[in-house]
Amino acid sequence: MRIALGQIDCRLGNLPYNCTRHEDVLKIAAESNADLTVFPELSLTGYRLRSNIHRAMLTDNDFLHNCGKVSSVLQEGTFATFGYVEVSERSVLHNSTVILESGNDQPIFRHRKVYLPTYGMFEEARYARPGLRIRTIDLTMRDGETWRIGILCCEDAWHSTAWAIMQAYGADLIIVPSASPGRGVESDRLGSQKSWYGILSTHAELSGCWVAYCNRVGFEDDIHFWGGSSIFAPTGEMTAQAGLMDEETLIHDISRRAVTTARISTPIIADENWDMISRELNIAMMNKESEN
Amino acid sequence: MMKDMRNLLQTNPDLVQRILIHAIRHTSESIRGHERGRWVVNLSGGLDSSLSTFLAAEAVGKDNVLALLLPYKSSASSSVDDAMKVVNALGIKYKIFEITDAVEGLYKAKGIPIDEADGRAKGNVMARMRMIFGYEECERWGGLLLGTSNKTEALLGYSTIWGDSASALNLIADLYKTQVRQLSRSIGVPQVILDKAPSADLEPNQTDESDLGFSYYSMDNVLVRFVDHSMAPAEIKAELWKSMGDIGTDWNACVDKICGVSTDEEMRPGLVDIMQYKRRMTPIVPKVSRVTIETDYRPPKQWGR
Repeated sequence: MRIALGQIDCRLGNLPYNCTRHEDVLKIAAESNADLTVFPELSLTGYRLRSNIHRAMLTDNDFLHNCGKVSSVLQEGTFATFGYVEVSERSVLHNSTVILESGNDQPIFRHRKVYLPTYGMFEEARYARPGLRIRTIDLTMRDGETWRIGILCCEDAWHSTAWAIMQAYGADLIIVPSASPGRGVESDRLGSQKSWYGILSTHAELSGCWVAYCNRVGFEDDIHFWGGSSIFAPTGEMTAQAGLMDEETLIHDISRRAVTTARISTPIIADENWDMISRELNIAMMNKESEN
Repeated sequence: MMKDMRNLLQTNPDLVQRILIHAIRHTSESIRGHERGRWVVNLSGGLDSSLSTFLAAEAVGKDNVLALLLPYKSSASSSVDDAMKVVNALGIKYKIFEITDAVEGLYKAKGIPIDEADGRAKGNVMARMRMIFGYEECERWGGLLLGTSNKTEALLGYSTIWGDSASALNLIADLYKTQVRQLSRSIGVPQVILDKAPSADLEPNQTDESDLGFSYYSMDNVLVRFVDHSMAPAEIKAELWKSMGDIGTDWNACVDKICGVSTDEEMRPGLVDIMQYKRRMTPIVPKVSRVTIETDYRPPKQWGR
């Protein structure tokens, strides 16, 4: 299958502008015959909305109203992920990523960011509530091949436990939309870039799956997003990388066969003992609870 | 890998330069609607304003940068000479105004003979007068004022609040003086500016390092450990004596001055603590309502573009 990573800049709270940027990328993706287009975290709204978050939030109806025309650009039989602030039916705010399918006016999959960092420069849990599900979806591409796909939104991917759930499902492709601020300039590359690539490469290899990382570019007040969107193969090798700090649409082919090859040569997921792990995890949690 | 403690201040000039150039263009874009907006910079001929000017010229082009050279009658003559070296190297626009009449006009209005004015207060009037010249020029020319403070002076409060600390974008304020030097060298700031002793030049023969009592290199080494690496003062002292050794700096005194003292007998805040008010310049607002500006209402500065 062919993936397009839409490494875009977003304007805070400017839905019409951001929709247009999505359309631009989806047109390039269509010309390139991409099956799945990935956008960064909160791609429709911008990242650090802070007190203005309620001015950018979308109900499902708002979302469809605004994104209907965007998804109409989707070529038949293709998919795209979008990020936005969701206000749920119960009036709770979530940092959500949805998968849209051509010809379908309802999102077919939704991931609400589970881990909302609120340390150092981050203050996400101050403005949104965590999601409580880590799931996957099976999508059949135009070539007839079915992929099991999961989404880990930015900070979610810093929790090995979230990857373990993906491994338990046997996900073939994990999409990581991100709004990673550039920080740490003491070496040849940004500290954030170094950490991210290490985490993604390691987890792609340990999970025997493809990883598609789509990071934003641009500035919001003082912080910048460094881009460097990339694809990691089930061997852990980085097979494609977008440039830093500038907008770019990265097109790359990934094969389901590479997943099979990796999992046969290194069958660590097949060797996993989930019963034992879930039991031991429960015991560890009970023991930990008794320490408190 | 163990961090090389002697090299904590090493930065990557190319990478930082790229980020800062993007920052200038983004600020222009978000405030003025296009990337190549105009910038006014008060160019003293020192390292900080020279580097900031070089970065601005690179970001928006020489025709969109206006350097203001604002000497007072007692300013070192080398200040204007050095500032002109930057202007000529970049081919940017410039204006020279002597601020002497404006500063003395204030004291005249107050009926205070200029020779009797308090030195520090007058220095601050000079810094704030330069701010007024800068903003006046901005409004007339449609520019934004580029701030030129570094992280060292911001942390130590070695600045005039609402004077040199006022700007639309404080470009290099996340770089210690030692790192400003690294970037300046890499971007081609004239050697004579790199070589001279940093000076606020508010009083004759003044230097920052004699005002502050320690070298920038020493102070930066304390600050980077205290602020960036969250080390405790006692730990910093022990570590500095070990990794840096005796380089002519009394590390104990330097740490006490910057980080303060906290023992069973004594609790004394350091410069970094005392000067926080100069860094968070929004004045204190007593909370009365449910939604107080800054305390509760914290929107991003830039919205919609």
